[in-house]
Amino acid sequence: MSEGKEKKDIRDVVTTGPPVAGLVSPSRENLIEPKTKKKEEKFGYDRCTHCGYCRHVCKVYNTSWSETDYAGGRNRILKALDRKDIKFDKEEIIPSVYRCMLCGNCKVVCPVGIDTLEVFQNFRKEVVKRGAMPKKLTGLRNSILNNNNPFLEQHTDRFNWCEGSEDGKKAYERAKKDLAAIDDKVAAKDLDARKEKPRKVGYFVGCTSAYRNKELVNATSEVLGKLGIEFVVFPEERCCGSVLFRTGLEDEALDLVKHNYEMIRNSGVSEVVFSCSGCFSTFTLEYTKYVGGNLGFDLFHLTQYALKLVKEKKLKIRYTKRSKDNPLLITYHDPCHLGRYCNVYEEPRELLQMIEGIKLFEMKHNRDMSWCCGAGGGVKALYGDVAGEIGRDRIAETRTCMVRIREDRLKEALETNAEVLVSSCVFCKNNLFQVANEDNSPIKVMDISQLLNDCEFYL
Amino acid sequence: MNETITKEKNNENISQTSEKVKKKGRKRNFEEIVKEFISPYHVSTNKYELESASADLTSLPSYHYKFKKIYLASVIVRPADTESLSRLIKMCWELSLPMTIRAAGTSCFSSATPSKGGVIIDMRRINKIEDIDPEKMTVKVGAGISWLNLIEKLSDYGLAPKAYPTSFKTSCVGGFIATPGRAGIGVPKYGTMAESIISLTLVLPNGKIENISRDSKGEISLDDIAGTYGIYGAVSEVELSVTDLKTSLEIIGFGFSSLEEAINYYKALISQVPDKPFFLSISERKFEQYSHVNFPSQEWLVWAVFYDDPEVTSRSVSVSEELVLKFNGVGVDKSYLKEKWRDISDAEVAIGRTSRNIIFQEYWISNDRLLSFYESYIKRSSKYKFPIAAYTISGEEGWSRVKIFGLSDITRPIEFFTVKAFLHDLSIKAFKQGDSLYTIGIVNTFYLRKFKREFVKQRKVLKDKLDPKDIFNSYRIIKARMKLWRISLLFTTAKLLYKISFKKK
Repeated sequence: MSEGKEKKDIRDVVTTGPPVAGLVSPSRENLIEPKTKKKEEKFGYDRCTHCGYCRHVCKVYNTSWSETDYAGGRNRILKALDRKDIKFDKEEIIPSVYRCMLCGNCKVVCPVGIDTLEVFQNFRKEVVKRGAMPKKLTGLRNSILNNNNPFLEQHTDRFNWCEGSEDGKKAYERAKKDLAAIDDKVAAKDLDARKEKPRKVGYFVGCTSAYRNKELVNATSEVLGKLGIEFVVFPEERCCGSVLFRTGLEDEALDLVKHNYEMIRNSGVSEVVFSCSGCFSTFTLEYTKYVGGNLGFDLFHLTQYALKLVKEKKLKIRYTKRSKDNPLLITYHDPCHLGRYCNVYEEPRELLQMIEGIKLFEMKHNRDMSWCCGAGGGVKALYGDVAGEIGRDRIAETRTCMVRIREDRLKEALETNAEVLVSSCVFCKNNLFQVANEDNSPIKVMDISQLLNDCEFYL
Repeated sequence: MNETITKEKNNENISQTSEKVKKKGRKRNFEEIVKEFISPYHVSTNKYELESASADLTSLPSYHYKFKKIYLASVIVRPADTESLSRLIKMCWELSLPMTIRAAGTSCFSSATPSKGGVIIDMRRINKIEDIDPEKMTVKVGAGISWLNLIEKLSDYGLAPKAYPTSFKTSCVGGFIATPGRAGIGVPKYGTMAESIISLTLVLPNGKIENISRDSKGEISLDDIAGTYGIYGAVSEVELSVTDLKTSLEIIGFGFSSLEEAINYYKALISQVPDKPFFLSISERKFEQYSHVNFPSQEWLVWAVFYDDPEVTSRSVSVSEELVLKFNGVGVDKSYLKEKWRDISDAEVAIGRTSRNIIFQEYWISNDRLLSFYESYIKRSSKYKFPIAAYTISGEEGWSRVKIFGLSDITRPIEFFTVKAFLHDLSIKAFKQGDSLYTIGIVNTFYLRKFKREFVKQRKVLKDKLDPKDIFNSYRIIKARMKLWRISLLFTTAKLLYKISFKKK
């Protein structure tokens, strides 16, 4: 058994300033809110001072070295376009706009408080409106709008995963029954139908888990079952729209938002659980914006929900495959969508640290300074499968960037001497799992649902 | 290609230039040849990338750097090592292609931006750490490495650089050599950037590679290279002496109502504390106010960081606390100081939360004249209504970098240009009292030409030898793009208009 790295070194003595400045996000509590936001200002990029601090945290820039591949450089292009110093070129502009994983690390470090995520998602929206789009995006969009998933899979196959999980199957059957009951009551014009809430908890599965990572859905279902939750799934579930929001197709996502929102409201659940951080952040940010505030149901990532239940029921958790004296050494990767998008950093850690038989070690870059795994922003979907000679093709270079980015993250995990890298996002898990496999890495990659499913919860 | 570019020099339409050159096929040859020894991905004519790379750290509107003849480069090349850099520069030299060396571009005042178009040579890929020697306490690095990456790597060995800029989060080693490198973190304690250099590799404007050390007796010395904005060549690798990571860090800070007492205390911290501060600063309350919610109530804040072994820092703190009693300083909340140190890199940028267009100037003032300079600043600023603030950090022995910020917005052009006029007047004051400006770049060169003629003349001798065609980092130090009288006229007009508009109100 390897010893995890827990050394306290000389850098810990110096808790402020260099040399740890790159590992710790700047403190914002005592900084004023940016006063320079004018009423008519839609986006914040014109406040950019081009200090370049976003460069250091941009994984794409640190691989490509291109001036258009980090926030400050992109802001300069936006300003130049505004002033008409430079013409809008449908082809040439695409890499500048889409080679960004929207990881949000630049937002964390921006000294003048620019919401770079908002700026660049809006940039993509504008670019799409002006007729510029990566070629693959059309196919992706069509798949989501026609098949309700980005994978060109049949919508009717969305719940095939149920066959692998007893709890999941029961949840599906419960949901179908409830739907039928509601329909009957509505048909009978029973106005109180919607006020009945037979189930409290719904599990929004998400496309990637449903079609590509059934093991995660099954694990999540089993975990909820172990925690004694009679949950339902949403048989009419469609893609949450995250990919569309991130790639400039926000307007086309709104129908999905409307459908999913009404679907959940009609189901009567008051708590919705997500195992996918992308779906969770989309609901938390975009769906709440859509309804103008309170959705009428609470949103939980699995890590938050499991922690809540464990505390409420005063449960203990034991990892069944190891013991207290021989713990599984793990490290935790903060998904951008759970961490930087939704500020959920501590609950997953608190949950992991409650598990007997597991020992958690932090990677060098963690929490709001966590490195992106390389899967976000539509980059993997738009550029992931393109082959091409490295160095001769910008698209292929983007793919190279992504490979390097996820390799870097895995390398950091290896430095902790952990045996398992745990994440709480299906995208992160897939991306890091891929590189771990390709490199025959000694470190395993797992989603937190799988880890929890190997645990027992007891009083 | 050379011929075509010369013919098109006066043509303001860059895209037309590119088209014509392309049709003749010569530009294609240049790029094709370069791509044979530099990865094709790192040779770019993407117009968005050119726009982004042809500027530097500034929140000012682009016409502020678009005055410089041809501000936009026509190609960016990113060599990965000294050999390919040399080959590239040699090729540009033979074609008489103007070259601009760039890394992070955070020096301001157009220090790393084109003035004649041509090629931007981006040094960021020359960033390897060749060797760390914990015994000799040296490190050999590619000049394109960012300070933060270097700091992080050195800390793995229990080492740290001696002197580095407050912009260390993004700036690169080579840049701090080329720009003065005389004020920053570690400078009061360990000396300037130049003093940490053991040797470096310089690629001359003709592509020749020179290795220059402290003992070199050649035509060009380390003193010629440090602080001369790359006019003599591109620094590709550098060997630095480093220090060990210390085990104790203490921060002290005191507020003062009197400017004189604040400055005297500031000076006393340098001259009377046996172990010099690692970092030392004096700032106006306004400077703190423009970015912070809570800030010290006194008019002036003097704070210092001591970084050494515990007994040394402890002694420094005791001495500092004894000294302050003579100057009526009031203690400042420790948590405020900790936050300031933690986010030291953000200090000069966070002020952008108050203003869309921060205008600033950096003055290089002798500590003997610091008080008179500040008094002049205060007296002049009383004539105006726009927000201004001063922030000073200690530099090499006896000198300080005083940075004065004017917060305005280009949508108020009279005020905007009056702020610049105010800073201009202070610049002239600085030179007339025997001081200077800190960062020169392209923008401030005309001041040198007026007030430091001997210095410029000296520098020109070597420049004429190494780069007679003046195509390498042009319009810095030796030749000015602007004339003092024109600038003065512009700013006098601005001040007049400001007075008139202010009277009307």
